[in-house]
Amino acid sequence: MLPLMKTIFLVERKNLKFRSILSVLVLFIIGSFVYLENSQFRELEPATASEVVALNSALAQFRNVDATDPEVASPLYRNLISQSSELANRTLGLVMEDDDTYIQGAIELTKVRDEAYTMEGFQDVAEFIPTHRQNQLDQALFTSIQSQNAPLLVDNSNFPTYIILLLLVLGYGWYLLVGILTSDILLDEEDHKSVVNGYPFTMASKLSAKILSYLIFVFALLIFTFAITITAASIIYDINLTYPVAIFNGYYFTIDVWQYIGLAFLYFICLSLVAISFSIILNYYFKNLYIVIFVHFFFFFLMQLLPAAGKWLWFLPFNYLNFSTVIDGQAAEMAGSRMITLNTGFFVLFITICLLFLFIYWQFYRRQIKHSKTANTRGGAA
Amino acid sequence: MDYIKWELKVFFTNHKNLILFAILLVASVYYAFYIAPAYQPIESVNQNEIESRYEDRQEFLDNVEVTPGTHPLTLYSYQVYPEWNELDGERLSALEDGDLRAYAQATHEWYLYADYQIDTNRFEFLRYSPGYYTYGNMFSHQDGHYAYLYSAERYGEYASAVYNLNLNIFEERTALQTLQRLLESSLPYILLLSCLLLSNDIVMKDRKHPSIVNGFPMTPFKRMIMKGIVALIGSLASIAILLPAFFVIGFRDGFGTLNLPVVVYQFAFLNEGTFESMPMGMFLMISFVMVLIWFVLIIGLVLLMSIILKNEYFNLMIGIILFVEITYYQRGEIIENWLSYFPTSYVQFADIISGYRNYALLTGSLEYEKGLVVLLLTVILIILLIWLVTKKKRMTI
Repeated sequence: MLPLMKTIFLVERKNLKFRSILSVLVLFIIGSFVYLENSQFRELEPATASEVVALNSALAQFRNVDATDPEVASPLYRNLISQSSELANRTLGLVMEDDDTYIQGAIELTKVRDEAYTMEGFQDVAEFIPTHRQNQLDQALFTSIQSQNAPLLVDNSNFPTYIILLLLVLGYGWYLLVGILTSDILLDEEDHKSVVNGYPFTMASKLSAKILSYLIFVFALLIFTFAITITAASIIYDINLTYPVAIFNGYYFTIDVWQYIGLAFLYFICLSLVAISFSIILNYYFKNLYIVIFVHFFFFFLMQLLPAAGKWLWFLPFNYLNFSTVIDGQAAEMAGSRMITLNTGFFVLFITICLLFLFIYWQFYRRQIKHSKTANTRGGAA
Repeated sequence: MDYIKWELKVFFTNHKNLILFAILLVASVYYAFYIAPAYQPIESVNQNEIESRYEDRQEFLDNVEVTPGTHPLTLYSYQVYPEWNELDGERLSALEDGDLRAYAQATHEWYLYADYQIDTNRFEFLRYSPGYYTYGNMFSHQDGHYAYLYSAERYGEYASAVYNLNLNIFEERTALQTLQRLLESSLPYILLLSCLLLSNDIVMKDRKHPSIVNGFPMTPFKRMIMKGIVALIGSLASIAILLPAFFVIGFRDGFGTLNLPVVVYQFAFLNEGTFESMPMGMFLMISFVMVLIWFVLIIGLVLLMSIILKNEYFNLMIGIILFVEITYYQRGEIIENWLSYFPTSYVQFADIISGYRNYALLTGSLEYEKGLVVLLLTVILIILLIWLVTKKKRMTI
């Protein structure tokens, strides 16, 4: 099989497809730095200011009454009033550049706010305050910042924020990228059948060589992306691998940046394997590059199209193709099922990979053997 | 001519193109039936809302007693509410009488007055409609200011309109207004991406049958132009595919007329520009010209990339140019003027025609006339390059 893989590499080395995917990634990496420079992604000052305005709007939905008197003020109203006083602490912390005040205010705010979600009449003010999920993520993040004595990141030009942005976008795009890359994995052989059939190898080893070489290429891409971005980010911003990042995995907690990167890396490997094996099966049945790409896209966006399906069908892989929404709990929130977590994601993807490869084995190898057997009994005229 | 016919036939029987057309059709009809009716504008015609505000303030005005020790806010309200409430009262009675023209006139004045009071008051207890202050919106005040002046301009036009008015026009639900709203949000991306996907393999498909293709008695450049024309026709067909959805909305909510006002913001320093309006027909015509030039640009790029690099994947990369501007046009940043000389800055062309981009980005540099020139120059450059490459390479595709 090694000589065959060598041949594949020699042939594919010149294939512009790989270079185009590589240039997409390079452009994306450059773009992500430019974007972070220009945008207000995770900047605390504008975020806090807009939160104040939104909360004031929520308060404006009520009549102004004495909040200390439980007779006239509803519990939700009193809760919103105490939220606004905690929010004022955050603003104060920002203005005075006093991190401790800000962090303390943020933790108290998330605690107070946590009680509001179950109160009567919450739906009327829901659009003015963050969702329960966002609040829990904030609580986990600020509690960790306090306990680890980590600095507060007011601006967004720093290593952890860049990594969060990068993995957010890559998490959305990785499955589709690998899907597009592998969408013609078996098709170029159709174009040169006489050449390919002339190779002195069995179908089985040809296919495994193909899969292996694609795998190596995708892994190389993944390592390339991670290595380049992490190196560039640690040169531009100071490297900080221990800053906490809030994630969802059944419950809300924080992990270090380096663990976050590692998790993403493992998850992307699983996604790559799913995309490759799924591409092979689609190639076998459709034999058209674009149909394969469309099916990949459909599969990826099925979650957005039918969010309610995830409630009962949480064990199906299409819920887990988007790393970003799985890790921040958005997928679980959207589907209304707490089963959609990172752990089940790994598990489901692993099972899917096994099943798909078993299917490929059955489809290609067994059929091949059967086919050659029947051909022989008829006198070798195949 | 035969060559064009043949190419057209291949284009419209291509599996990929048929699937793409089907997706566009299904998605647009789904939009027309399910998503469009659910649209709820923030500035809606809501009698209850006006009534409760009117009664609250009337009660305040009836009972307030101004003495030397009155709180300044009370004093302020005492000065501001009478005129404001008068306008609200006019709106209410017009709605009850069903006199939409009078309602439009009163609403026009109401929006001007309300915006003036909210924008200039120092106490910050007055706010625009709560819909702008949702969690996470960092530009709520700006959004509200824009929406109020936008509505004021719109209702001013309605008040002197010659066509029949109805509530769907007021809430921008008619087919033409829905089209305008879509053009100002996601439709440009959909149109341009489908153009790219449709024309993506127009040259590359010939590589499989070179002997047939090279038999046509035609210079390579001419053949490229023919292919470009076919791709353009095909891309225009993708606009035609959206027509059923347009008719569904039109027959349900009314089509609107081509005289409906589209509000255009003329930028001035510190965002104190004026709001004017242009007829819907004019707006759609400029938009169509922009779409057309964009189509030619994308198809030209596909042709150029196809003959230089000969790879379908590289053609797909053209899609990136649609998203480049996201990295440099961010609200809340200082926008450099020279960025407006990039063709990539004009993807959201409808927002540029209506001036909303200038408002949001606090810049006067984005104008559609400039965009037309920049895009046209790019197109000419690309066609020249195609001509050069075909000449130099003695191309056999």
